[in-house]
Amino acid sequence: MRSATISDSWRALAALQMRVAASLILRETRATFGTSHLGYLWAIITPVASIVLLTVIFTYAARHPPFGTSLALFFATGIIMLQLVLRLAESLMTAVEANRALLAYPPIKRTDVLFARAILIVLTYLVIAGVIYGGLIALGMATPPAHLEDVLFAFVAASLLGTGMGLINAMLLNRWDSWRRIAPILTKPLFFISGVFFVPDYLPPQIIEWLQWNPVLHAIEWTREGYYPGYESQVLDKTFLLLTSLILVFIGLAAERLTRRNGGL
Amino acid sequence: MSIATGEEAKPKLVPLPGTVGGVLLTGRTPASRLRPRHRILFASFVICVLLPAFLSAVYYVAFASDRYVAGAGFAIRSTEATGTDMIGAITGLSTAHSTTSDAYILLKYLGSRDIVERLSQDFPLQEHYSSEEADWLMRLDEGSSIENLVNYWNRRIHANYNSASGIVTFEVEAFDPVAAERLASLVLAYCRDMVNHLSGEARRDAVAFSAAEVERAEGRLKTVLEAIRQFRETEQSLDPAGSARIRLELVGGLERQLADLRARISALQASLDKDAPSLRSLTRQAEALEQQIARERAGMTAHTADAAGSATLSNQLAVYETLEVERSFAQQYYASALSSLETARINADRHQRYLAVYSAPVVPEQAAYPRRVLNILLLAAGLTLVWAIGALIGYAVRDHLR
Repeated sequence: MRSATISDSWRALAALQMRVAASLILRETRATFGTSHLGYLWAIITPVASIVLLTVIFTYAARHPPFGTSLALFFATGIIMLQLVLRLAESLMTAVEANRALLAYPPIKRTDVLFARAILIVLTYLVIAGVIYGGLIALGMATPPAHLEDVLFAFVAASLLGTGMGLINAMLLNRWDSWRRIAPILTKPLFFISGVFFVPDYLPPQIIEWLQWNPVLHAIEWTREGYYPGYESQVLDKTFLLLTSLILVFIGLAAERLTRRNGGL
Repeated sequence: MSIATGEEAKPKLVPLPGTVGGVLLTGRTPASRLRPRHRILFASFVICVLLPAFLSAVYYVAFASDRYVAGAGFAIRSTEATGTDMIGAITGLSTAHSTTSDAYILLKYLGSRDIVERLSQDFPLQEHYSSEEADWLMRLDEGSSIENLVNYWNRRIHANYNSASGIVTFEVEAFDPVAAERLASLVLAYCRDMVNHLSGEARRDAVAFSAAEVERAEGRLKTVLEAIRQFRETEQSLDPAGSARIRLELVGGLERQLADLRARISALQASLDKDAPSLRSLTRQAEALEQQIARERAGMTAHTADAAGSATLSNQLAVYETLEVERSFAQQYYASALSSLETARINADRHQRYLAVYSAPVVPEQAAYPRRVLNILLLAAGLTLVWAIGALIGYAVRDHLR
């Protein structure tokens, strides 16, 4: 009897959570590009355009790809992962303060706006990745991925990583307003040290020794190992990536719960 | 831990809806109302973390069979540019690009189906990995397909390439020390074969082109020489240029005689009668000489063929000179082809690659895997992490009751 009521109440709770999350996601899509005709499509068009632009620049700068036959594909496999992580980290940071007005409603909690944003960004980047890979395949600049499951696992891992970073960012911003300026400075070098435009294996071991502590690098390597049939990374350590991501998510969630009573809400 | 204490601090804020009526609320302490929730939390911890960790500990301590490791380390060296490269010596950058790609080829080869098939011929690979020595989790299914065997092999061999030092290392796992050493030795031998094969192939390729070139040059020279021989046979003349010279000399001699005669005739005409016998005979001689000269000239240049069917001397000379030029070209071509073959051979010898083994496989004394404590701790830590995140999300959902 009691267990039935408990499970019933949990079911009701889950339903409530779903509704809150769904409406927050919907609101997020409307609010971000509310005045534009294309609406949320811009959230897909802008990153795609910036990735395409970067790819074009690098195609002319580097000319021949570090691996495979298509520089665009090599670059895309790196930049999509990096952008996903960075976007999550950056936009979860401001999620709470952007939705401060909503938090006045009792059913909406801080975690809700954070989760809603994270889910929305992950879904958006799933579409972006689909558009870019699909476009490259349609243009004949890429072949379909060799091991789709690895590409997807890497995507999930990168999503977790970005979410963890974003949660921690949000909590730090909550405590310390200057973090808004500091976080981008810390994440800027990621573009250069994550293997977006090079194959880490070809670097001297002294450099690899340091670079392998960068989880984004592992996410990119995992993607490439999944996408290219013959790409075998010696640097890639999936355990490290997953553990780091989970630890970050855990720290972020724990910090959210712990800072709550100290005036966070 | 901190989560639990954080929750305990505010029990009154989070009543479960419809769980229990006001009876308990008034009757018992708040602590008893917390119980179901904490019981769920604790149960989930037991199910998600403690139980799997305990099971893995049981497996690792009681069942997991020892895996012995034997390995080798080697570099692929090329006979060329060993310390002679100035830029390489100064910058410390390795210049041997060909050996780099060879190393990557070897890395691929170590995990390939080829090596598994070759190993299976020299070593009971499948039997060893599916034997009783292996525990049921690590064991290869008996009678599994070659693809499965290759996958399994890829988990049992760990290869690594250090691009700065150019050193390739590999480790093979087996369920007894002797087998590990045997497998590693076989793999090392295959690697050596592979490098020799690659090197020999490259050498053959490099020399083959030049050798074909020499053959072509030889053929061309032979054809020309044969043509000259045939020309000599049909024209009955060893050296038309020489015979032309002789003929010219002959004509020159005749003309000199003719000039002499004419001088004498004109000298005699002044003193002798026109019909004097000596003068007449001289005149006949001069006429004969003139005819002879005309015949010789005609033989050299005229288009008519004489009785032997051979061409006139000027024609012969033209054909012969063409052949001569052709022969000298063919000779030069042949000589240069020969020398380039020699260069190619020397180059190929310089590019020859070989395996420099610095650590040969030895029979291990201690099992390297499984790393029991590390694995159990890692698993427990990972599970705890996942469980904690799950619990935190659960609590976040539950907050909506507030």
